[in-house]
Amino acid sequence: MRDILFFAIGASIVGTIFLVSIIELIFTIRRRKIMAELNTKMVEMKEQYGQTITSITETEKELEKKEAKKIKDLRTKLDEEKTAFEKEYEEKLKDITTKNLRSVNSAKALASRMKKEAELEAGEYLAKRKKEVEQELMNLVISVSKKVLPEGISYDAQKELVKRALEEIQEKK
Amino acid sequence: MKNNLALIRKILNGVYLKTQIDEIHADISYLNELIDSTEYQGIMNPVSGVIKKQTIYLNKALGGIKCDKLKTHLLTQLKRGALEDFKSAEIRPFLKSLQLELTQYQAVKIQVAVEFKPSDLRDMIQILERQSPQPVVFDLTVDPSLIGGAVIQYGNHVIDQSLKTRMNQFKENWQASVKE
Repeated sequence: MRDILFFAIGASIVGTIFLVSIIELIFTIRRRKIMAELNTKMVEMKEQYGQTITSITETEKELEKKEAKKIKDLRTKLDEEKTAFEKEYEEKLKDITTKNLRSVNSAKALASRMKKEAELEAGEYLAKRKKEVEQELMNLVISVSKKVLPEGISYDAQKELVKRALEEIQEKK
Repeated sequence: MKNNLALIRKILNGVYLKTQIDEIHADISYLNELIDSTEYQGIMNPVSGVIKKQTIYLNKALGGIKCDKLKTHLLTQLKRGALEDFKSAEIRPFLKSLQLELTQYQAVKIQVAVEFKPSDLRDMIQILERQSPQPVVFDLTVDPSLIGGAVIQYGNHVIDQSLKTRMNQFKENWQASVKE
């Protein structure tokens, strides 16, 4: 009995070991197969990845080129516009300067004319005022004379004046 | 009334103002109205014993005369008792002659600056009467604003010899020269 037991145990152990070994073998083969497949896939994926990376890189490069071209074109356009603006600015500045010069010159001419007119008006005003003063002086002299004379003329002088007037009208008749 | 013309000239002697002439005209009108009145006709009808009444009436009536010389003459006649001179037949011709004589006078318009004495005004009239066939009187106005001299209108002639006008002319001449 012990022998059978020991044989059974040993057989079971061997059997187990054998089974395990077979299983391991199977699994190992399977693992290798899978590993190979995986590697193949890995390689494929790597290749694909590489292709993708390449295409992306190329696309990026193309985009970069396009963008660079765009930027270049924009720069060119900006430069042109800048030149145009600068030119326009210079022309306008020149134009304004010319106009300002003309305005300044015409203002100078106007000032000169106004000065002459003012001098003329002042001269005329002075002459007019002088005449007015002379007139007022005459009016004053006459009014004072009219007030003073009646008292200054004697009765005999009055008589003489009337007689002269009568002589004159007698001559006319 | 006898010697009407001589009497009239005596009354009018020394008249030198138009106002005096107008006064005498008014007196003539007054006397004519008096003579035409029924009261006068009644009183002056010759009836004895009424002489005193006539004298009193005429004395009162003659008081209405403005011209002193005319009044004095008529009152003198009344004092002498010459009542006949106051009858219509006598007095009317006298008044008519007086009126006719007044029309001979020529009025000269004159404006002077001061009041002159009557004697001086008469002297001035004589200047005009030297060459005038008619006697002259002044239609006189005193205007102190003339200052001196006179403005005279004699017939168609007018002269302005007042000092006021001369001063105004002087002023105009001055103004004209200033404007130039």
